[in-house]
Amino acid sequence: MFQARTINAEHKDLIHDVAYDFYGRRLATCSSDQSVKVFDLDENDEWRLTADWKTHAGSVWKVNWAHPEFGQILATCSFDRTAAIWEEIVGESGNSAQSKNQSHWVKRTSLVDSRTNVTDIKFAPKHMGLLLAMCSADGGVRIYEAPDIMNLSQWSLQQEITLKMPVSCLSWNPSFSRLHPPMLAVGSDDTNVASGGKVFLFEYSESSHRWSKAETINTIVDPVHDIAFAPNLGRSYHILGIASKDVRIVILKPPQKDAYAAACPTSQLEILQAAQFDDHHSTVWRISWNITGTILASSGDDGCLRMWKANYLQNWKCIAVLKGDGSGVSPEDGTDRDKAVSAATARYFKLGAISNPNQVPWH
Amino acid sequence: MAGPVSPQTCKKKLYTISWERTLYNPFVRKLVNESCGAFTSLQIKAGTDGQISSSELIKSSHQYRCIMNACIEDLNQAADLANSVESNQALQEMSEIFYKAELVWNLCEILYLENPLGILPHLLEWIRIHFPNAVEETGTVLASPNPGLHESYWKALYGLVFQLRLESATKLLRIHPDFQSEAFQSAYELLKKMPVFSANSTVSAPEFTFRWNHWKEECESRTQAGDFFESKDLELLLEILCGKEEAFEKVGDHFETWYQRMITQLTFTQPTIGTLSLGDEAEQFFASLIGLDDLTSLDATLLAVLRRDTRKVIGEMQGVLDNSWFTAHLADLLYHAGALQSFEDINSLQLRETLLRDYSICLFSHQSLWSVGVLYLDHCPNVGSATLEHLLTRLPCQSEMKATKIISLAERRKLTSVVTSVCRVMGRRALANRRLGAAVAWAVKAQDAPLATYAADAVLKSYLQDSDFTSTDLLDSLGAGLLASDRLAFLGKYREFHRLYNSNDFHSAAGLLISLISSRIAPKYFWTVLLMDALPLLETNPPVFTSEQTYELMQSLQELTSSFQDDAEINPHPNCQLNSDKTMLITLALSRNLAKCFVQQTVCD
Repeated sequence: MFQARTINAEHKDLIHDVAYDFYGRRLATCSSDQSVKVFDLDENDEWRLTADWKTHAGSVWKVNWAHPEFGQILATCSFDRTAAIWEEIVGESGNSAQSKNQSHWVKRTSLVDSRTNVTDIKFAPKHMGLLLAMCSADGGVRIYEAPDIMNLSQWSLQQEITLKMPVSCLSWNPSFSRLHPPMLAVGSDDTNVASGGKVFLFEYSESSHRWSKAETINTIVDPVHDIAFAPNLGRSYHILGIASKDVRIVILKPPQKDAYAAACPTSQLEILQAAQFDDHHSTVWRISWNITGTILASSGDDGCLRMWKANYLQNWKCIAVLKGDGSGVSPEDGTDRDKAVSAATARYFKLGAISNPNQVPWH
Repeated sequence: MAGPVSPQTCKKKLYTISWERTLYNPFVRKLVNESCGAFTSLQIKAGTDGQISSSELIKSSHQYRCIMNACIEDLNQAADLANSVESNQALQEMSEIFYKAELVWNLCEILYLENPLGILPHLLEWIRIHFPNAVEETGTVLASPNPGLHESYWKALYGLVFQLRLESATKLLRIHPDFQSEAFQSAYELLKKMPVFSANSTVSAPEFTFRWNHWKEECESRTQAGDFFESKDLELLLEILCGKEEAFEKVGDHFETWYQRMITQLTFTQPTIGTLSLGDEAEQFFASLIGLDDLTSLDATLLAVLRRDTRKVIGEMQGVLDNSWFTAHLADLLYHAGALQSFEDINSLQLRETLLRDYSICLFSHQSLWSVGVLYLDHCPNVGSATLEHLLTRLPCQSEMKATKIISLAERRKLTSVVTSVCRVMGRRALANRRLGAAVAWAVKAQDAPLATYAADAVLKSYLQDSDFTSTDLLDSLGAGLLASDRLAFLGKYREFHRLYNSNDFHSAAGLLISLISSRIAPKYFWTVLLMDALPLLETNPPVFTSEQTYELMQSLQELTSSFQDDAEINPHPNCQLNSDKTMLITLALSRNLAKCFVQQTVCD
């Protein structure tokens, strides 16, 4: 059912993040060895290392691709308290020692406003412009914008939000519709269960041009390690995947836009828990959606990658389990699959083995 | 290897995981393409109001089955030619899956699309098609030198009777050496006389039942009378004809499958059974013959079809197949037949749409089948457009040709966001690869002003470098597209200036040059170039610049010398730098031109 292919990344230390580009034909990895590597699919559909460079003076936690409409751009964030924007330059190598397959990445800017470890960085959905959000261990969430999309060396700090607990991850809501205000979800890995909900939702107000907290998901009090909105293909509600001590899937229903609701714009999101899975029997570190938002992949300390799919009723089920080395394990429940349609979509998934940050000193 | 992955492997290796699918096999491509044709023609026939006759639906269903059968044949042929055991096995497995799919499809066709009265003749036909071994066996028997004494004679005869191939059965009976005996004559007569129920016979069901019971009584009374005492084989035949359970026990190993035996038994016990009681009958039969514990997914699917439990059928087929080809097409067909029930939680339209979308998404994951997927999304009224928009932009457009294809598909469906996005990406890529003319063209198509400006700047800079325009054809053909950005408009006008100058139309060239500077459409970094371009025109006699125009030029020179330091680029091209030599040269030319203008004016006055 699955085909597994191996890429020798050969980082000198733990790999923390793997990011596919928009089309799934490029891969970027980042590691505690302070470097980023880029792999490209060549004409024969083989992965080839095309760039490898030192990016930061500390562990690089996350790497993220901008939409190709803005060019070939990567954002990285690091333990060295900075984030950086990189742009690929084609055909300017000139160095004959370099193979012609190599590409060259230039640092366009360093974002140095954080005074602590920068834990996550993500480009906003392209309809919002060239925007990015980063978060740091001191609870800071910063949103930057490049006012001139052709000039990547200028980024202005649009807004700075400070939360009372460390922030570990963030996700932009990809929905683009007049019915949904832009939304940003932020997760905290604060280990103090008593400090309350660990997932916060921010909404952007067009009138005030400000982001403000719309909701806290109080049902999740355990540390959150990863968070991801599902791509939205015409749904009226949002789906949020959360990696905590288990896998959670939460549905966010915007208030009905009727005449009454229009009169009171502060009406609240309805938050429903669609699924909660403790199949990993351990901490869940990373989650990732396929491009149609129909399958969620999660990886945990059990060394397994698990994939989840829902039927039209939002009835979620495990459809596949894979070991860290890519070999398959059949789902425990193979007989009753009439609801979890196993027709999957995206071609690639992040894998368990690549995201095992538990051996890494986070604090 | 269980347990957590060691940190050692974490550093070194990445694994990319992708789904493997039957549909991506080259031998199955024909199925994908042809079934798409059948699907779209069905949608056209159904029209917007969804009205379509059942005979048209049955025709479509036949078409799908033909496509499946052709695919099975292709796979079998490929398996025969396969050069390794593994690939042969894989192909054979695939062929078997399609065989089962076709079997199920055929049964669905009978139960959902055919007339529900007289269902058994159809089912028997289904068995005849899929189990031709009785006919094959008869062939071998007949080909032997002494067919009547062939060891498989009776097996072949029973096989023909099981499928109600009575004509062949009577022929076979005639060649038996003992045919002239009374017993054989009697059996022959009974076989000949057997009333056969068919869906389109003129005989009504009660009347048929009456005749059939009469015939059956005759069979039984003749057996009782000891007509067949001399031949055990004939006795068994008669028991079969009378539908005796014990008789079927005896010949149980003649049947390959339970459903074969069930349909035969029903033919000799309840030939007029209706669709409604078929499901229960089948379940009981299966339970007593095999036992529900040994249910394979094929058995479960067939039982579900016989019970007309559509949801279960779809669920089972999804579980068995690695793609939604079958479920999507079947659900669509059943939807048009009005046989796709709505459930408490999902209506039939949504169900059909969900399945079509799943199939389409599966096609989109393939590098060339995606364009087939587009056609299926066109028939998903609720989610189709949004899904298509999302998926089209996600297609990597490595070539201009693919980009153009995506754009035209999107334009036809009014998905403007896709068009813009693809053009932008292509423009960016062209820019990165220094294909400036293409970059401008894509930016114009995307109506992306910043990108167009950037690309136009790049063209101007490359002009400074080479003193020549590359890809001028593309630029000159843009026409109204040049209005996408001011910089691009300037670029177009500047090209026009060159054309006028080269065709010795100095007056128009001079006028254009002045308007470019005075309207401030020219970027400041380019002013020096424009002033230097003015030099030869200033030297002409009689002058082409009027005194007003010369003042205009003088003013811009003034502005340039006073402000140049403010927004200077870090590394301006030498042509853009206004040094003292150039300033002197231009000032001199300007004053001389002014002098000429005055002289001319005086002469005119």
